[in-house]
Amino acid sequence: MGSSFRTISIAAIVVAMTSCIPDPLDLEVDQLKPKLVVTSHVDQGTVDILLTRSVGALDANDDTDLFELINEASVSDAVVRIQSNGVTYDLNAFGGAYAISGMPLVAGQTYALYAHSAKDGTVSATTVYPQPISFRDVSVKTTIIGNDSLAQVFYSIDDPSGQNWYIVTAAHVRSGANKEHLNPRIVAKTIDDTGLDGTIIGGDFKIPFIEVQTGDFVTVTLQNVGKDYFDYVKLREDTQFGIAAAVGEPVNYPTNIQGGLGFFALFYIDSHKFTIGE
Amino acid sequence: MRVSWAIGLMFIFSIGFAQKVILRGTVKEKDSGQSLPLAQILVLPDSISAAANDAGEFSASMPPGMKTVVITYVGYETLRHYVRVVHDVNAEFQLEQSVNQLDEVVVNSDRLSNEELLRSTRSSTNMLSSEDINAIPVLGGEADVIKTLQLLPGTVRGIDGSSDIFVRGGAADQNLVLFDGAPVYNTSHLFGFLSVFNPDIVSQVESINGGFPAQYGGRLSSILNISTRDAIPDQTHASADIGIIATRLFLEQPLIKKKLSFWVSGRRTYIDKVAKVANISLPYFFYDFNGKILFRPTRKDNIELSHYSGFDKLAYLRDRNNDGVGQTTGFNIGNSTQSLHWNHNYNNSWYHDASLYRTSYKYLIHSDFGSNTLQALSDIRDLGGKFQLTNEAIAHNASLNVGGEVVHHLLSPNVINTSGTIAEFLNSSKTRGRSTTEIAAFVQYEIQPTPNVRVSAGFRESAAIVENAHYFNPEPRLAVRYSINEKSSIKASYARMAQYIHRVSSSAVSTPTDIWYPVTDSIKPQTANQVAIAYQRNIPKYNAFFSVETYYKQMSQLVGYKEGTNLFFNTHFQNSLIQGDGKAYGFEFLLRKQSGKFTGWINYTLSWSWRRYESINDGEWFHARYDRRHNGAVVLQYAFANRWAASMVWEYISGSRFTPVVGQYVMASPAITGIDLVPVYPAINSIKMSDSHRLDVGIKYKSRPGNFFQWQIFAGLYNAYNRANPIAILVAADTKTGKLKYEQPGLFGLLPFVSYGIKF
Repeated sequence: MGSSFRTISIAAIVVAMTSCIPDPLDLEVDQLKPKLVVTSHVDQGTVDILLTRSVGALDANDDTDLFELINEASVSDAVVRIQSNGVTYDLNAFGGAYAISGMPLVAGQTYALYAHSAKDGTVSATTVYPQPISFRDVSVKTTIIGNDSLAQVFYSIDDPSGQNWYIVTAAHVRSGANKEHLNPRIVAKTIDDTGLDGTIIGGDFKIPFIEVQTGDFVTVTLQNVGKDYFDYVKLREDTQFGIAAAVGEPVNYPTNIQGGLGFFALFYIDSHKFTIGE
Repeated sequence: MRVSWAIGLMFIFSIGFAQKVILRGTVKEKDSGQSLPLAQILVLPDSISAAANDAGEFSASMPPGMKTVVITYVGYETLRHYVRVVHDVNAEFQLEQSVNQLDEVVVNSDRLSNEELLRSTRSSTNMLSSEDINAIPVLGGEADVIKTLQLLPGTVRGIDGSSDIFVRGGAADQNLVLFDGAPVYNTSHLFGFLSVFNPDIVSQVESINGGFPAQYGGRLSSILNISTRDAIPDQTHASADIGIIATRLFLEQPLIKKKLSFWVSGRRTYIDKVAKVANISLPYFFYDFNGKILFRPTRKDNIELSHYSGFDKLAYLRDRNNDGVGQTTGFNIGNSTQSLHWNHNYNNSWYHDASLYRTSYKYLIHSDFGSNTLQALSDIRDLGGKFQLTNEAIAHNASLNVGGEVVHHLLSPNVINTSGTIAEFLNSSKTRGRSTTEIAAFVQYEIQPTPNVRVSAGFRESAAIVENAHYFNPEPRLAVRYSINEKSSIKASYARMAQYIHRVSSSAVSTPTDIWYPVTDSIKPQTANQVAIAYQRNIPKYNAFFSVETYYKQMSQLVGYKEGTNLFFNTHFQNSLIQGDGKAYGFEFLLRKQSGKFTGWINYTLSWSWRRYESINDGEWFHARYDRRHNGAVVLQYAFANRWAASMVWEYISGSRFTPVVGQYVMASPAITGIDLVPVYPAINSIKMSDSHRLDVGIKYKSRPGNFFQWQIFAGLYNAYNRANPIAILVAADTKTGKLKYEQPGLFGLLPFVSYGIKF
């Protein structure tokens, strides 16, 4: 009796569970028409502009090869110029990347970007170069807790007078990993110095739930950025990961690119790399 | 103010018709003694009509003399009673069930008979009886109030299986659900797939979608009034029902003949126990407990004390090393309501209905892993009272209902406590408890100035008192009926509604853990104005009824959320709330046959629902999430023998709206160590998901009528052709080609069910 009941119970559960999974329906959805995308970066005095095309939602996901995606999406036929203080600077093309060294970056000065591709159209944007700020002090400490570990970042900033918007980031990168370069789990702390103007701003924060191994590294950066880029990063940080991405309200992120997507923002990055185990 | 004057003038006008004698009565079922609410009474030769109240009671004033009292009630033989009325008199009228009634499945979209429907001013109202709810096949074979309601005009469901309802373009939180007069905040078990209302004890369900009487308020879109059994039985009754989801037990016991009785009822899912036998860990269950004491101390007094409590509980241990140590997760959610009603009939044809209620709703999620703890708690406690004074015969063909109500809300929304590492990215909340008091006074006056015209005018003044703000909202109500002839009527109604508490839920998915939040000094009350016009026609030759209704609803101060808002464990959600406008309009068709061997209804709703917020979609109108253009159902039952009945439901609903990712682009991450793939969305809710349709079939076999011990088996198939009814749009890799594609998963495919019920 007991054996029969058990058999029937198992069969009933299996039937119920399997019958509850109908095949999903397919759906055609119009994809985003390709737009020019600008992302910018200043590295040791060199201004880098990455010019790509947006792709459809079905063209890439978390399993996509990062470098292949960039290769396919990059726009290599463009003319890219930056104009500032009456001077026009032509950027040199390296595939989809455009760079210029030696262009004076002056705090408070406006820089206007112009990019034209015969295939993909024209975009433009302007930005103001904020005052470069470096950490007054920065350090990282890792702690093992059971199966998990965390990295704790300590920092301080000498805040100059005037309104500033800081982004302090920390990212754990596994040694030799490529995939984690795509949508890396970055902890970004956004700091608006309202009320703290001219003081030493300090604090600490953690990168939780990482399993650190010797050879991994943690990069910590400080950026003093413009308000529009600050708002973009803040919104991105609030909505990018975990359950927030799944059940949050959909949002189209702000852009300062006329005719395209992305951000043209020039700012100094004070970057520090801490290797685990050293 | 003008409406108040109009009511006053009508009152003054009508008292010119001097009342002479009053006939007060109670309409009951002959066998069980159960009262028959909303029975229709016609007194001849004066052509005075009246409707019984929820307790089956009515009163009518008339000139003295010999009268014929005609009482009609769906499913019962019409009673004609001859009586000489020379002074005020009380009488009890007992109706017998129609022949073969027990052997047929009778479905009424409205308990009022066709003739009664035509005569009343009411439209936009659906009513369901316990028989209706138990007759049709639903998910898992578990009879369900909400699922049945979703098959009637004007009501659109959310995702497949969900107990959310969206009435005439409104939101899910715009429906006031009253269980024996007490509000219920969480209407579902099983994470939304089963409603909390035990079908064994539900006596009647009234869903008012428009033309609201002034006694109701507090929500914009509908009032769902669920009443439990209210008859004092002559003997003990018991029943049990065993289904694949849950088992139900019911016991009814008289204590003092015709004066005092009680009933208790319980329901519990036992799938966890069955799984345990099969060595499968399923650490979830839900239960309901209902009870009611009915007391009739005098012929004029009726006192009822009702209790409900129900909880869902999940306790899960993830033990990787099988050492009894690991991650524990608990989830408790539940409602509890208590209500006390006292009805009293006065000698002068007035009667009152006084009620007090308490309701509480809370959820607690807790998770412990390592040195981390997370607790999320939301708690609502309401204390309220309502008093109504009614005279159904204040003058010739006129009735008056006046009263007031007050409810005090204590809310602790989304209290989050964290400790350990998790506290680094999920801070403990600083959300403080909130207290709100809602007050309302109302008056409703109904008169029939000519044989063809009946007018019901009402006025409700509602208010909410919150910290640093007081809100007042006048809510005029008007309903007019014009009889074209004996078989058809045209009706029109207008109602303004105000809402002072709302549910904070994601537009992507609603969960039982959504937060209820009251108005504040910055979040204003939501309001709605609705007009509706209906044409109703009785088709006596086929025992059928046809109605077509159109409505337009304008909504203001609707609560929404800023783009990008994450509401899950969000301790600062107040900062993300925005307010905007809404509008909804549509047509509703209903054709139903409510007696005979072949019964059922065909329902079709064509509707639109729009939203507009200044900071979303560039301030332009956009589709509401559940703007489903076409919504229809065919519900059929056939009693093909004394002991056999078959039933089927076919439902077709246009796909709801969604905002899937349509593009993405590469950006350098802020930490310069990686690349971000940034999603791009189309205009909000611009993509329509695939349409949903589903066929459910069931067959019922009952024991021989007349036996002391009654039993029945109900078996069938849910989603008989295994259609996936979409709940979302996801990007997934094709299993064959590996290419990415959009797909829309459904929750429930073909699902057989069987239940066995007994009663004696």
